[in-house]
Amino acid sequence: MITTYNIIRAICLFLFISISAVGLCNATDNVIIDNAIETYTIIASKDGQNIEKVKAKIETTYTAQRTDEKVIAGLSYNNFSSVDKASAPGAKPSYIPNYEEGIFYDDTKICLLYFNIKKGENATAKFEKTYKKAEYFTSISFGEGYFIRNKIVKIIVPKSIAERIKIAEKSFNSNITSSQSTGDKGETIYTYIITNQKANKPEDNAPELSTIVPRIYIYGQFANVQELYDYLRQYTLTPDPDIETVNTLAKQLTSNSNNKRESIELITYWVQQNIRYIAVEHGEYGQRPDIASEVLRKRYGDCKGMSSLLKAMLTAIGIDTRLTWIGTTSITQRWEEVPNLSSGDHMICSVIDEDSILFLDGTTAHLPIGYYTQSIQGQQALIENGDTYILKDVPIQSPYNNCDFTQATFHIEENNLIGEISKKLSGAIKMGFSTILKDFDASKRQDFINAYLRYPRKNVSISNVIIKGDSISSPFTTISATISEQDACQHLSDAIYIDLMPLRNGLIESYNLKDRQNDIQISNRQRYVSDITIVIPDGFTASYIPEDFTLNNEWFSLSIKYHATPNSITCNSNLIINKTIIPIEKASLWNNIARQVKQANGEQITLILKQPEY
Amino acid sequence: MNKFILSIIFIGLGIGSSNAATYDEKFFKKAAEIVWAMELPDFNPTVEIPDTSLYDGESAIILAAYTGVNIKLSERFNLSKFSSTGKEFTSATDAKITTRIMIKLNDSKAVEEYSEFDIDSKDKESISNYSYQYTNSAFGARIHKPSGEIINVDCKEAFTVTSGKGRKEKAEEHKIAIPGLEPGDVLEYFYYDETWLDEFDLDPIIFTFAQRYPIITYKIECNIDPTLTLEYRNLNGAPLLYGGPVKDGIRTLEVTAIHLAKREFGNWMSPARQIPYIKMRVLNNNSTLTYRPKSARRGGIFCSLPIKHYFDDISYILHDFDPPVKIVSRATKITKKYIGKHPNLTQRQIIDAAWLATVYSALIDEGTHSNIALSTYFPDVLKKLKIKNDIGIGVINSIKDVPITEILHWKDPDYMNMVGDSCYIFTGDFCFKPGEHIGEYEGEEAAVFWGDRKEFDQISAVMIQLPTSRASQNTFRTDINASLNLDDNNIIDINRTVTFKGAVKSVASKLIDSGRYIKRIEDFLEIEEKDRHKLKNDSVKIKEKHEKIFRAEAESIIGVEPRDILSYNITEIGATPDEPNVTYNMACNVDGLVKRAGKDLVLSIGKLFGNQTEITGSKRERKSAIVLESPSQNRYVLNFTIPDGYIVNETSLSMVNKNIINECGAFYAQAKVSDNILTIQINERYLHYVIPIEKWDKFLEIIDARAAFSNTSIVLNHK
Repeated sequence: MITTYNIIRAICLFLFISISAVGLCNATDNVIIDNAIETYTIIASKDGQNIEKVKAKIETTYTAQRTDEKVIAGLSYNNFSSVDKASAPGAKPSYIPNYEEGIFYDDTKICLLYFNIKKGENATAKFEKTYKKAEYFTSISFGEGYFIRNKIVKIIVPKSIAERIKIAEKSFNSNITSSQSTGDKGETIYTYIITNQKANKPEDNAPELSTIVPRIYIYGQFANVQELYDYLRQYTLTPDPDIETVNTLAKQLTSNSNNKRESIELITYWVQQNIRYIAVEHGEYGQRPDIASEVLRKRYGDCKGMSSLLKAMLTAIGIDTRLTWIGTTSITQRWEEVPNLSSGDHMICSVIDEDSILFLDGTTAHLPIGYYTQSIQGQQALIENGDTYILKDVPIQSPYNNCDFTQATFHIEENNLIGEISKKLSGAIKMGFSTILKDFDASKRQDFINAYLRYPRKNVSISNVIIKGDSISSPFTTISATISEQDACQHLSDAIYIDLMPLRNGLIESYNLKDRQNDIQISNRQRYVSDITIVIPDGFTASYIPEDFTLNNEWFSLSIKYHATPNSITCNSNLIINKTIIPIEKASLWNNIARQVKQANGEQITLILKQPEY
Repeated sequence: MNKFILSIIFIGLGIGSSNAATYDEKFFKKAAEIVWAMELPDFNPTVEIPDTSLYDGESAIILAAYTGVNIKLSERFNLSKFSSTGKEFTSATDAKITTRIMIKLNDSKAVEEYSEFDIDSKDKESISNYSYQYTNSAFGARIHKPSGEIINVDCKEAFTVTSGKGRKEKAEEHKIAIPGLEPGDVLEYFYYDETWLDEFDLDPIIFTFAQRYPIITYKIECNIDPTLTLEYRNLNGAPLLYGGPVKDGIRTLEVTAIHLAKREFGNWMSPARQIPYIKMRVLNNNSTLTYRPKSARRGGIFCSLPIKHYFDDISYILHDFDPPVKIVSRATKITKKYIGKHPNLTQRQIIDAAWLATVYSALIDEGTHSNIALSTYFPDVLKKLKIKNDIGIGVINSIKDVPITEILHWKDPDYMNMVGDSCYIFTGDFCFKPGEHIGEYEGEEAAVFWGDRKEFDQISAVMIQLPTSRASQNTFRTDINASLNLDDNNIIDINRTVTFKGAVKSVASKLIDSGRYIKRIEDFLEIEEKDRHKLKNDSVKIKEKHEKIFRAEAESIIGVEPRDILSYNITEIGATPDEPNVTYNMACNVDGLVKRAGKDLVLSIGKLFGNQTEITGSKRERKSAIVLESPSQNRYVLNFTIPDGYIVNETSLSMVNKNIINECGAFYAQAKVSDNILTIQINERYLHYVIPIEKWDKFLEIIDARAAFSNTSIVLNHK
């Protein structure tokens, strides 16, 4: 039914897409921010020791340079903040819910002002906002959906807490200058001036905006990590009246378990397989994990709920398991560096065993125990430890953990390569495959498997598909099939040209750099190995075998090697991706590298008719 | 305090302190009592699922579905209506619609799909203080576990999404995640919607007999107040509704259908013509505040009403319509000026100019002009120009909608004009010239009212049929000149000219925006600079948008993403008689298509001939006819300069040649070498726009050949 609500929802979604994605990015855009000033005034508590609240005033002047245009100015808020005033010429504020992908329900709203600006004129949107809870005043982004000619951001800290409140700068560029001064009443004033800054522009294959848009983090609400930990921990101490159901299940599941590791696996996989991810994040539920018995009853939860259940179940069978707060790679700072709520966006568990820590993530189904997603590798984990805490980095794992090992043996029939193929997937690659497979309708899963096996070719027939190890607990998934790659060869009267394509994963590709602003992020750190053998048809011999190709750079190492015998040719390729961010200033270099790889991958094997022996 | 004052305070407190953040518990409870009490024996969670291919291997199976529609007329005194409109009594459609589903969830995919539900919240629409629409929705669910346990879902677990602030905060929708759901469960849920709508008509109600998953039993029950007008059609083989028992003077209409296959999704489909469904309208033709044609039926049940009745409605709509004078005046003035500059125009040329002037005048006007409105402006303009041809206003549907003989309301069809044998219709695509045959309407029947619109109330529509076209009339042609880049012979430089002719111009419509169209008309009609429309579009933004569109277009038509787009230029947009085709040029380059084989080269030449849909896996099994927009022909001619030091391998060259011909069409490829130029031509032809399913294999032969061609390579031997 078309209701007012659905229209608003569509506008909201469109808004976020349109503000960000219309390619508004430089001074020649029609609408720019000519001038803006944001002032954040921190108000101390009565005893002068803490932050009571923060008052923000935001005034942004937009100019339409070439034609009349409608402008949308917006400011988000939630249960811990409020938009007290909002105005712009000819605009009436509307307050609409915010929809964020992956969040089922939260309390974020946006105050929107729609107004028209005539060509050559400007108009100012004004907002006043109150942050009612100091701990949620954690960061200020300097990014906008429009080009910024000039913007000033001021943070005013009262004298009584000036020593305590600190600011960390992240992702700054040369368009931003910062300074510090003292006001008449001894307050500390931090001033940031942003000039000629391009608009935020979501682009394909770009890192998270949170890691590239300049921002500041305000901390000191918690004196140190201990205070922050105490604050977070209080939310985990909710009694669970129905914990016995959780304990009973845990014991049932592990009744036949032979050892501790097996018990951990049984329980972790059970949680991953049976608890759906549904994120409810309003108010304090952004920090408070759901109690274990509720997660179990509902059969759904977010990362906090899943961790809560995982901890309870493992604890029930005597395994020392702790809740663990962590920032994924969307977060650029560590707990020690910036001890505030913005340094974490995820929760996992830690199993403590003497000197070792095993991290468990309830949300990563199909990733075997002991493997970690790239999003938490290298990140600092804040692990509960009673009244104290432990800080520990999640290990950075070898790209060898995430492997696609392809083996194939082909013979040639007319223009086709026909044979058997198998793929053995591990780590994040296995997880990706299994997760996507599960998301297909049962009746369409075969289509996906076939598409996966034949990528990137077209005109390929697949049959006799067998999948092994596709359960959640299996460390590897193996897919094997009979495959016929049509027109992969040119079978001429006296020669055969074979388009082997040893690299079949599409990972090393060039990118369109026209007007691109942001770095490029390629997939996970991973390894791709292929071993492909072609049986030389009777009467033919190898005439040309491509030279071995080796390429090493800061992002990956690649080798493609050929070996010929009288009866067969084997090609072994080995690609290891070590680094996944390509800085924009190196993107041209990357493209050149990618083209070299493409060329090497396209080299043809040539067979010719054997000369008759006399 | 007396009761009256107390009640005012209570209401006042209620309004002030109403908790916008909760669902309407009382309403939900009432709905649950109604719905769960319904006697529906088919809702059996342990029903045996037949062992047929219909249900095999599905993530979910709908065990039972029910839709109940109860609609009455509500006439009551309403003070605020009286003060706003002068009419004291409501004439409201009071509708209660129940949708109840029982679905077996076989795997986690189905559990994910059915674990979250959105529920509209209470809402009302008002003009001043007169509320003319109230809506409210309730939801309920319960889980039948394999053990036999039934778990009722408590709607208190729902969350309410709100908008507004402070006292104006209101619920927009409710969201619920079903707790405790697991694979193997049977989920039973319902939506119960109440709508009270004064004077206006409800939206049409659609009962679809092909859903996301197969259905074992689907029951429909309708109870409609006989003073309202119920009109419906069963389409594409959907069953009829049968008269059931009479209760309180209202006859129930009902039907039960069993073993319904899941909906087929795929390429080349027209759901409106292929999926079985019943379309129903419940009209309040008693309304005196909203317009009703004189012929509208005042109460009763009408199943598959003879189409003449809807054509009569349309005749009155057209008769009664009063177009704004300024559009017709402006268009007439523009055309007269154009005629003045070209005194030797033929009648047809004048008519075409008048059409362009009419569309232009409507486009540049700040108001919104419907299809119906446009169809009345044009004859009025022609009348003012004293054009004597047979002029008519007609209605038609495209192949994407039901045939014109199956419409259910005067709002359903598209409105157009006939002038002699030519059909003038504006579809929103800016690339069709006046009177041009538009593929999606070809072969369709239309109903036309000829003559003066003010006499339509006295005449009947005349049925005509638009002609069909031949494939050669709807062609897409690409001429490509390609060569290895002089500086880097891993790169192929490409210059292309692309021409769209006839119905296939609709493919190019995304390249042409309204601004370009308006300018083209102004140029064609020689409108003076001072009189031209001042476009408010941002030319820079449009250029950026075009670049993105062209990049995507290039990838689609070339077949690989270009490395660089060097230039592009649209030379014709196909909107005027002097430039009937859409044509553009593009210069770009691509890499990755030149592969080395020792000293030889292997060119992946097939990749330069565009992306062709490949039909694989389950998509190769199909049950529905193939529906295209028109017969068509796609032609590519590639001239590739053979680099110095190389010759084309003869055997490789001969392997390019292909020839597939069957009753659906053809695919033909030919390669030759002459004067150091390798020329490859491909021609892909589809003779018909609707292909019966029995010919699916033949159609696939052409599609497969075309898709396989993208793998074509040519060997260049080093001399």
